[in-house]
Amino acid sequence: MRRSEVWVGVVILLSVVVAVAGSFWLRGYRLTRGTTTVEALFSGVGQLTDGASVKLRGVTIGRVNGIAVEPDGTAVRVGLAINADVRLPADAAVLIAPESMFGDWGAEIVSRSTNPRLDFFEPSDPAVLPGFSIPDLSRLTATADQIADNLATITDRVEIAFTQETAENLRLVIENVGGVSEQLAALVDAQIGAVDDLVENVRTSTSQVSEAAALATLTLAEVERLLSGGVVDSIVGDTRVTAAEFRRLATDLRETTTGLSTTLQYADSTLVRFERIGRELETGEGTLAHLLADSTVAVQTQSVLMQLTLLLEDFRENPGRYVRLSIF
Amino acid sequence: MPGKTLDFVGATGRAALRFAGTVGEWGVLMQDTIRGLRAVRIWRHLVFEQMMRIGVASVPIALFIAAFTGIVLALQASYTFTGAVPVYLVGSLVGKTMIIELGPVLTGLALAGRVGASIAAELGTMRVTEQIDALETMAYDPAAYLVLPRVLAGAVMFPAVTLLASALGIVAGWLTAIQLLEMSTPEFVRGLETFFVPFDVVFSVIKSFSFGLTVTSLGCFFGFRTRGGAAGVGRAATSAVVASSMVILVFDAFWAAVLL
Amino acid sequence: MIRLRGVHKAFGEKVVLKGFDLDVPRGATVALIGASGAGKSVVLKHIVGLLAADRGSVAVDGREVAELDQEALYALRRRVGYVFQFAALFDSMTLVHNVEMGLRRVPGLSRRDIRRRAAECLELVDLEGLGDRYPAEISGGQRKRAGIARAIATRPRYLLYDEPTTGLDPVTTTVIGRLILRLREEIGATGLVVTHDLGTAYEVADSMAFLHDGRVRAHDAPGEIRISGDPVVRSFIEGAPELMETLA
Ligand SMILES: Nc1ncnc2c1ncn2[C@@H]1O[C@H](COP(=O)(O)OP(=O)(O)OP(=O)(O)O)[C@@H](O)[C@H]1O
Ligand SMILES: [Mg+2]
Repeated sequence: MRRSEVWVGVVILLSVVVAVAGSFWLRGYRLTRGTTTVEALFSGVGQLTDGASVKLRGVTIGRVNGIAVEPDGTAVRVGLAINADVRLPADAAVLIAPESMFGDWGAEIVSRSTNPRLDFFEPSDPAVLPGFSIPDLSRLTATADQIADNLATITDRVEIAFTQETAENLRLVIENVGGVSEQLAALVDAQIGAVDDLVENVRTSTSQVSEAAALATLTLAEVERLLSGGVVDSIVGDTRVTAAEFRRLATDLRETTTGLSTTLQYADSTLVRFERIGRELETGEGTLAHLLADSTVAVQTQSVLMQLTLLLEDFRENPGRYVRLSIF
Repeated sequence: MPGKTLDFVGATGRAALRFAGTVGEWGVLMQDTIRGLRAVRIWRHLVFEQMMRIGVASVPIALFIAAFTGIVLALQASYTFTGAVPVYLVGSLVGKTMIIELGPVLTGLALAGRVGASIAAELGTMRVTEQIDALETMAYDPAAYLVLPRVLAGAVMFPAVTLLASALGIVAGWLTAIQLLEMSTPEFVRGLETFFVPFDVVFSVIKSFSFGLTVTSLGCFFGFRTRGGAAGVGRAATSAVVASSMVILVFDAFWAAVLL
Repeated sequence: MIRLRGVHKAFGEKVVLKGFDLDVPRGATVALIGASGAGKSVVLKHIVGLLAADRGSVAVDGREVAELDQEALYALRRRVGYVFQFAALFDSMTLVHNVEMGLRRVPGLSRRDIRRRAAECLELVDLEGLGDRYPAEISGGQRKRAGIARAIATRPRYLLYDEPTTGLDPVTTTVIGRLILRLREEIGATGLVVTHDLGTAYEVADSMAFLHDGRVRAHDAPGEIRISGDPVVRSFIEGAPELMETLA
């Protein structure tokens, strides 16, 4: 064995030892401590990566070890290697959220009872923990944007359906119940070209009306009530304002420099207004929604509303999560 | 004026062709080198010596550079991160930049100067004194006898030296942080841990591996094509260093784009 | 045997060989003489495939050098010993190691054989005792002899000497000349000796070829060359540039 060979060996071995031992050390693997692996299921994992920290009550107790989409594609299974000597809460669940604004995500083991409103993914296997991924800022803004778009669509449709002329026509229809079907048909013809898919829907309504005049009478009476009560006008107006506010909310959320408390207040008032519209839309079902007939918009808006409500509540209750986002 | 423009266009074209030709010649040398792998008996005994000269002997300069880089990184990070930015990020910055960027690149550049120039000068001298011709007449494949041991040694030793350098740079940054920046060890380590992923080390190894191949193969290449005495040897050494440095930086960007 | 036919070689603009013909029959020793820069070294390099002809044929043992694959080319090179004009010793190795280099490529030689033969070769050129020196630590003439020792170590069938005696003292020159003759007898090597030194040429060569203007101007027995009537040859062997100038 020549000296040069020894030195070469020393340099190579030393570098390998430094790299491997250093990596393990920085990833928090300590040789002396045993770990066990628990699994959790999520509907999505955001930007969580292998090796992210796992915390319990703010203390790091392990690392994320393995992220894989389930074979059927409906969920993501995340392995958590945690210290064997840590006892988890009986109703343990896993929250994943951004740790700082640099895009490093972490997992936190929580008790489900303390987070009743979070929409945890429910695994069928009791050994697997339920998981929930807190949406990050970009999802929040995207959601607000989406709501604004949906609301704008609704506003447009409501307006088209309830122009002054339409209202007059409808009034006429109500006065002449006997000629409901013909007149509706005429109305449809008059609207052709202006409101394509609405026309289609109204045409369907027309046949329904001619089949069941009584039902039509009831329906139209309801419409009459809505029109005369000025409800439609107020819904349209409200919706437009709310859409604009959602847009502002989205912008505010994007600009993290804006004072957080203002954003929060703003989100609150927007939400209140939005919920009122939601209720009004709901009571209008059978009349307004029937006439709008574009159920996809309504359903989508409904689900988005739920999502946002959840988010904003979380926002209010755990500002820390988002505070860190905007100012570390 | 049109004549001048044409001249310029022509000169550009010529330069491009010459460049392509040079790259092609390098490719041929590499092909010969790869073919030379078969002649294990020729190069087997030479790799250790080259590892010694290319790797072990470069450890001091690489460590020296890394230590000062680590110190400067820590100082400048704390200077940059004022107010809102938490101080533990000094650890993140030192660790991350040392491992994925400055460790490999500065070591690569330093060794391009040290190793690339010496290989080019050595082989250049052998070329102009006909020692390479002599090797050939004695039925030695110069690619197997001269190029292969150096390239192999570079490919193995660059990553090794780089890893040691990065580690020392981080240690230097840590010492600076706790001695001069009123940081605590846990703070620094927290920053270090926060953004560390083991792939960083793999990335660093891939980078420095490619730098090792670059520096040694370009050193050999420019050495081999040396013409014209001592001045030619000097030119070969210069070309090797300049070309290696440029290719290192291009590779640096390339790996960042491809692997990150 | 070595056979060159119509070899053309140019380096860029500079045309060095333009239709060079030469035969070196088996067992013979041919001296190649010619002015400095005429292309003598270039001719030798073609024979071992260090340079490729632009045109024409270079064949050793009946096989075209340019067409050999790597294996066959190395096999040819093992049969050829090449004494470089400036020795071209590996300056990172001692003389013994220099000589051993070629021997290591010979299949079936044990380490002891290699060492013994290297020592023998150094002894043959009067360098015994200097084996552990590096090329930088010996004189130019010693280097030249070490180069010869290295070339003959593998007992090649062909020996190409590029100015083996230039720069040596008269005594060493004679020693080298005798060495060439002796090698020819002992290992039956076919030799091509490039030289300026006419004395050596007359002594060792069976025939002499005079390279001029890219071609062999004259190829004859030493006695004939000596009394050649060709004014170009005359000017060369008499060292009389005036004769050359009157021709031009
Ligand atoms: N590799 C090369 N590249 C360019 N030109 C070359 C090369 N080798 C030789 N030459 C040119 O070819 C010509 C012949 O060179 P060569 O070395 O064969 O001369 P020579 O006959 O051996 O001269 P001398 O007796 O001085 O050694 C010279 O003019 C030289 O410049
Ligand atoms: Mg010559």
